Amino acid sequence: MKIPSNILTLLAGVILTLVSLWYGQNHGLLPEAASDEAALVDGLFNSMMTVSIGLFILVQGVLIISAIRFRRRTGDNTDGPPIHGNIPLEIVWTAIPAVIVLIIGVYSFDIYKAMGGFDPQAATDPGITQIAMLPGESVPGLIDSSSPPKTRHAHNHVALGVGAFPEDEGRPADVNVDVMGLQYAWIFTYPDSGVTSGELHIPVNQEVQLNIKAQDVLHAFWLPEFRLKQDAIPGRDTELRFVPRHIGTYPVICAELCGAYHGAMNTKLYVQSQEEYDGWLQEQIASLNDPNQAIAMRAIAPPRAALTLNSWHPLQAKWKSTQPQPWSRSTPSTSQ
Amino acid sequence: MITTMVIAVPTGIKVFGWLATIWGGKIQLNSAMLFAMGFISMFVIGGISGVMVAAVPFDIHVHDTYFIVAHLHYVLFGGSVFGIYSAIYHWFPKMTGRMLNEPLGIVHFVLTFIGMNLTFMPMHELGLLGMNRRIALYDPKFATLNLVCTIGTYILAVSTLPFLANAGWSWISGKKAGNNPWRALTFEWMTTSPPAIENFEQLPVLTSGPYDYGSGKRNPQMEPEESQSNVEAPPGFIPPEEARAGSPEP
Repeated sequence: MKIPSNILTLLAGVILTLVSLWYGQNHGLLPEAASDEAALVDGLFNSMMTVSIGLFILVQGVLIISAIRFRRRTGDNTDGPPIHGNIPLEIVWTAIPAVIVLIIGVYSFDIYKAMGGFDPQAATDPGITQIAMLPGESVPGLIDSSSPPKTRHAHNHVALGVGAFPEDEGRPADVNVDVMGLQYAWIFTYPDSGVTSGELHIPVNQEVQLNIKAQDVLHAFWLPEFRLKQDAIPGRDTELRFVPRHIGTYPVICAELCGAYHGAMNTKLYVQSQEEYDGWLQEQIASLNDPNQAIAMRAIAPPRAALTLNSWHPLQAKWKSTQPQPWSRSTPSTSQ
Repeated sequence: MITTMVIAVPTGIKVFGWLATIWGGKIQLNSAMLFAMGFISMFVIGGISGVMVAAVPFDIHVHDTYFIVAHLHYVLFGGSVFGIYSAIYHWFPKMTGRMLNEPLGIVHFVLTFIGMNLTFMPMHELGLLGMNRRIALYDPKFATLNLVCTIGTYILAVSTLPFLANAGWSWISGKKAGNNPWRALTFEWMTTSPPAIENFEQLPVLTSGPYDYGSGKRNPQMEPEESQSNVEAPPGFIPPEEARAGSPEP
C-alpha cells in the first residue's frame, strides 16, 4: 500500500512532537533540585530540552533518510534534479529559529528575574574604586577600599549574584552567612553568633543569604543541587540568596580554577531541620568559648594567608584572639 | 542573552541549507561525504547546547563545568575536525594525484564518530551532575562516566591510525586519480592532479557553473578521461589552442 508522503510527514511531525514533549520532562539528566531557584532553572532547561530534542531528531532524521533514500546506486552516474531556491522554505527555516530563540531569550529573562537576578539590593558592591597602585603603595590600601559602607546604593552599583525573589526585595534574609573563599577552602562565618565553620549548615525552608568574598584569588561558589553559582572576587562583595527546600547533605564546589589544588576545594552543605540547625549552632557557640577546643579553621587555612593579610578579615582577628598557641604548632595540611 | 542566542539563526539557516542540499540529491556515501554528514550531525548538537549555554539562568549552573567542555568539543571537534577530514578525503586526489583507500576511510570515519561521541557525550551529563572543569581530582561518583570518556579518547586516538596509514600508503601507491575523480563541476577539477606549475596547461573554458548538477550542462573538459573521448563538444565550442591559432597575427 502506498501512503501519500504528506500523511507520512504529518505522522512523523506528530511523533516527533510527542517524543520531544515526553523527553523534555523525563530526561532525568539533572541532579536533585533542592531549592526554589533550582525548580525555576529546571523548568527552563526542560523547555529548552523539549525544543532541542525535536530539532535534534529532525536534523539527524533528515540526514539518515537522505543517506538511505538518496544514495547513489551502483552504475548510476546521473545527477539529481537541479533545484534553485525555495523562498517559502527559506522564510520558514529562518523564521522558526528566530522565533524559538526569541521565546527562549524572553523566558530566560523571566526566570532570571524570578530567581532574583535583578534584585537591586543584591550585593552592595560599589564597583572598583582603585584601579592602579603607585610603586611602594601598601596593599592594605587596596583592600581598605573593598569594604564599602553597607548603606551605599549609588547608581554605579553593580549587583553581583542572585538576590531575593522579587516579592522579597528589601526584606532581610532569615539567615545570613559570610562566605570567604581562600586557597583551598571555604570558611563560613555566622555574623549573628560569631561562629566559624569549614562546612555550611543552614535551616530548611528559611531564606538564606550568603555574602561571598575571596581572600586571595578568584574562586566560584557552586551548589549544583541548587543550580546556583557565584564568583568570589577579591576586593568585591557578591551574594547568593536562596530557599533550601530539602533536608540533606550537598556538595559545595569551587568552580573557578584557583590554583594547584582547585579540584580538592570542596566542602559540604548541610540543610537541616530548624531544631538540628539550632543545636549545631549552640554547639559551635559553646566550643568558641573553650580555648582547648581546636577550631577547624586553624587546620584549614594555611598560616601564610593569615600572616600576609594583617587581620583584615574579622575572622582572623577573632582567630588570633582565641589562639593562645603560636602558629607553628599547627600543621596546615591536615584539613579533614 | 538574546544577542548571544541570535547566532543560532544564521547557524540554523546553514544547517537547513546543507540538509536541503543533500535531500533529493544522489549522494555517494564515500569517506568525504560521511565526514561531511558527520560534521552536520555533530555541529547541530554543539549548536543546541550553545543556545542552552546562552540562557543565563541555566548557564549559572553549567558555567565552568564539563557541560561547557562537551559543548565546545561538539563545536570545535565536530565542527572543524570532521570538516577538515572531509576536505582531506575530497582534495587528497587533487593534491597528490592518488585516491585514498575507501574501506580504510570508512573505518576511520566509524572509529572517529564512535570515539568522539563516547568521549564528549557523557561530559554533558557530568557537567549537569556537578563536575567542574579544569580539575584532576573529582568525586568518585563521577568515575563511571569518566571511564566511558577515557575509553572514547582511546578509540579516538586509534582512529587516526587507519587515516595515517591510508594517507602514507595511498600517496605512494594509491589508485591514480585522474583529473576529476568525483565528477565535480568546480574549477580545480579541470586541471591535472596534482596541478601543473601555473595550474593549467591550456586555457580552461567554463561552460557550466559550479552548481549546475543535473542541468545537463556538463563541461566536457571536466569529464573523467575514460569517458571524455565519447563526449561531443557542445556546438560553438572551440578548443583554446585552436582559438588561439585562429586569431589573426598582430
